[in-house]
Amino acid sequence: MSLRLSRRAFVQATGVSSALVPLLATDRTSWAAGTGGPKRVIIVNWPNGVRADEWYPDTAKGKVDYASDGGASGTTETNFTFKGRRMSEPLEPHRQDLLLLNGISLKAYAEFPNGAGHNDLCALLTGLPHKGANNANGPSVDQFLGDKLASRFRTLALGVQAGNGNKMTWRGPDSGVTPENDPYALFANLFSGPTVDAMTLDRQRAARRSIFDFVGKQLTTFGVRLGTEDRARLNAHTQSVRDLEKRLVDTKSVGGEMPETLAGAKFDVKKTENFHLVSRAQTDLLVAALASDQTRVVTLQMAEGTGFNLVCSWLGPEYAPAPTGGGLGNDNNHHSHAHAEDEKHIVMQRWFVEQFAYLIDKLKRTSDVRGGTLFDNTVVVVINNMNTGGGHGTSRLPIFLAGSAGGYFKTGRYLRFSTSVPINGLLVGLCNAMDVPVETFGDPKYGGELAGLRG
Amino acid sequence: MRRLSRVEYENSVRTLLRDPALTLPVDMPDDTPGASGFRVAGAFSGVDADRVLGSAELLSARAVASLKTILPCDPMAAGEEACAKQFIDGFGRRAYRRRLEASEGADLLALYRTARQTLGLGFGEAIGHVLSGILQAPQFLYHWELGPRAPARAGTLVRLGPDEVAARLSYFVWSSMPDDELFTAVDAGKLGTPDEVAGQARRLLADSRSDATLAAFFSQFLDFRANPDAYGKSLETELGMFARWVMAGDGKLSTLMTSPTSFVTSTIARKVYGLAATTGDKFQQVMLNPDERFGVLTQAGFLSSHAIDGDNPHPIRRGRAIYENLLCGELPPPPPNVPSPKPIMAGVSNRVRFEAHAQNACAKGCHGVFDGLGFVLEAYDGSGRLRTLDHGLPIDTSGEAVFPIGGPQRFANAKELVQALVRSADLSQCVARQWFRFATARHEEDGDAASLRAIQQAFAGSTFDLRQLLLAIIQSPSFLYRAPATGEVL
Repeated sequence: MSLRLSRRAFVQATGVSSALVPLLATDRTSWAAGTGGPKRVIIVNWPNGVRADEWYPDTAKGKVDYASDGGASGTTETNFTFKGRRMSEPLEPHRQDLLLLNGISLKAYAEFPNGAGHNDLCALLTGLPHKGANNANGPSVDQFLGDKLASRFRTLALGVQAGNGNKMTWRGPDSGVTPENDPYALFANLFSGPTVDAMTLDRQRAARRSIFDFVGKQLTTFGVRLGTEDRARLNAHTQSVRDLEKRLVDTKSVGGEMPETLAGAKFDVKKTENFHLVSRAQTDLLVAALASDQTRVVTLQMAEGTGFNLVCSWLGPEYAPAPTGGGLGNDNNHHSHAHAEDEKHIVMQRWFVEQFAYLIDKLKRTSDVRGGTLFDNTVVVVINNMNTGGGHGTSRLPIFLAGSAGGYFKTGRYLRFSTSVPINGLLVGLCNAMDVPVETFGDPKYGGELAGLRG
Repeated sequence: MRRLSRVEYENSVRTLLRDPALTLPVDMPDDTPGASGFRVAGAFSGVDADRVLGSAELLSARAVASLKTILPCDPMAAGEEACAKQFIDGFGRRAYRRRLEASEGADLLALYRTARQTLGLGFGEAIGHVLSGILQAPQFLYHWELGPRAPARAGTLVRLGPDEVAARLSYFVWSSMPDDELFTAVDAGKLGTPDEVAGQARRLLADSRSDATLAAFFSQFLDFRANPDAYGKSLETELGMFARWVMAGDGKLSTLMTSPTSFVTSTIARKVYGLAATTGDKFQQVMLNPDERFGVLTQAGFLSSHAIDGDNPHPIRRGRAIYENLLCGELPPPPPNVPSPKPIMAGVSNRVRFEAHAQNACAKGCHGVFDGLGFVLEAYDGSGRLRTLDHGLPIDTSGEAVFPIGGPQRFANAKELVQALVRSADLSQCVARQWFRFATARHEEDGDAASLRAIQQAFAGSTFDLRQLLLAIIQSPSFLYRAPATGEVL
């Protein structure tokens, strides 16, 4: 009796609301109008803010002040360039495919006493205030979309040495989704079993199915008497196990090539000096996952929210670890330079932007399942959860979109908003672009889709 | 109901498989800070499911290779299925930390039969299949205090059964499952009264398996952060050995806070304490200068946990750690857009550099309360070395603070700070509460008031003996009973 068949019994036994039991939406596709493939969304987070004068095309040199709304208000610019902006310059070749945003803020988060930008990851994608330190009040947009669009994976929640402290992806309160930080494990999960013969594979599947049946029964039997909170915890556990069963047993694994970065000698994915290798491998793998249609929703959290442990030694000898006498790691860490908003901060953030350019480029060079390129039907949302490294502010976040999601967004524009606009409107836009229409996302008082995204 | 933390999972697996030296084949997800302030298992999500499965499969394959270690019978002599049943009952009892219900045993036997008959596995592999199931079962992965039977009520509370008490005890003191002796005591009906519980507690506390737990408590208590290298590890070891030395000695809180004893390698001795190099990488007990060093706050670990810009200490972070962790003071988070400390400048001491932002009218309300705790420790640089000059200027070691209970304080130097802490009601009460949170893996609530009063009294009555504190916690209603959860079906 597999978990799938006993879902009704499970729901009755635990009294859990059907909203928590996901639809296996393998038959639900969202085809972009007039183009080949289904729609994809990739949400990337990177840490510790930017300098406005090295990010926005129109901010004067030396001006980094975020305290005021400043700048021209409510305008759209089509004639802009990143040239001369040392952080955002690597985006220049993709300018026509970008929507650069200036003015988005975490309004819901800011309305309650908060712990500065480092701790806002739990509110970044939910459109809600946080629930205590490092806890969300509702699902993040990726989990919401993943529930509607699940294929072999509900979503791919990935990280680059991230998620131990603050998490970006949440199924709901108390239910953080730990990102997969290990590209070797990710590769094995995406493309397992090419060297094993069919009979062994079948036996392995049968063995695993029997274990899943057993575990499912233990979970439902002993979940019956639990209190409300504990039952929710157990439901999250059950759901994760069912997702795993679906991935390992119900669906066929796909053949795939190991990315170049992983093909050599095995490296320690937890060491900060390998951050760039992990980043590259995770990027390559997420593109491969999308190309093989194993998921429609990917999140990539790059570094822990604080960036204390991130030392970008691959950038050159001046970026080598410079240990303090004590335990806050390193004076050459990402966090310290972000606070100083110095030259090294500029170089490090430029490196991140080069990774985004690489991702965009790779999507453009990868064919989609039914013609065209992956990029045609994708939207990449790149969002830094703080405005400046020094200020920790959650208003006017550095955000841009790359890709139109099959013609939904009108790209090649730089949108400036006159007052700090809540991120909720952007999250609504993402859902609509993914053909999962919603009126609001998170707190409904922040309204519907952000005007200007479509032209 | 919470899940086994990473540490608890790894220790439990070693005990369960009777292989104390076992290296875990899969990297389980790290623990994260919980509501108690201490690290616990996070919410169970996809990565956890993946690792739990991978770990279970690899561990059971390994166990099958040396089955005699965990198999209590000979299948040839006893008959295969009978031996499987015996294994399930005995091994299952330990893995689930209680006697299996008939249905649980039947489910595991069914798993065995599927393995033998449907999957065509040999006897050993079939046992491995059962083991793999157990290691993925919620009864193993969670601290399951709900039991299949209706719980024993005691007024509004639920009285924990002996199995549940045994598990709470061993997971608190050893971060692991009960050992055979504890299971035997339960089965013999010898873990019923608070006295019997205290007896076992003393045994567990005296055992070296409690060392790692002590170290884990104190390093989190002191907000310890070390570089992930050999030196950082050695600072953690220094703290752990000192804590063990205190607990094995007079056990007093005052000793923890004031003793000049420590445990050092040559590197630590030379680098921090100015002692001649002695025994290379091996640790030895030393007596530091009693006019310079006073317990954990002036040891290398705490002092070097908060440094910035080379060997400069970060007095705000040191002060905050003392205020929040040692005094249980509550501080709101800083507002956004707080300016960074000014860069290092010639002729400006570290203290002045950090005082600048606290003198801001907006910041003074909070910072005035705790910055002084850090300023007093400016006598010790970012590595923990004693110094008299900072950027060429003599160091001002005076400080003011406001204790949550004790009110305004002034200290001329670190010695006076430590003495004030030891005298204060704040420290002893906070230490008790922190140990309570660590032991119960939750924050104290209104229903714990009576327990906490009794615990504080016992602690004070023993002149703040930490061992008596732990025993008092273990014997308290908050440890031996639990409140029903909202919505729980009793």
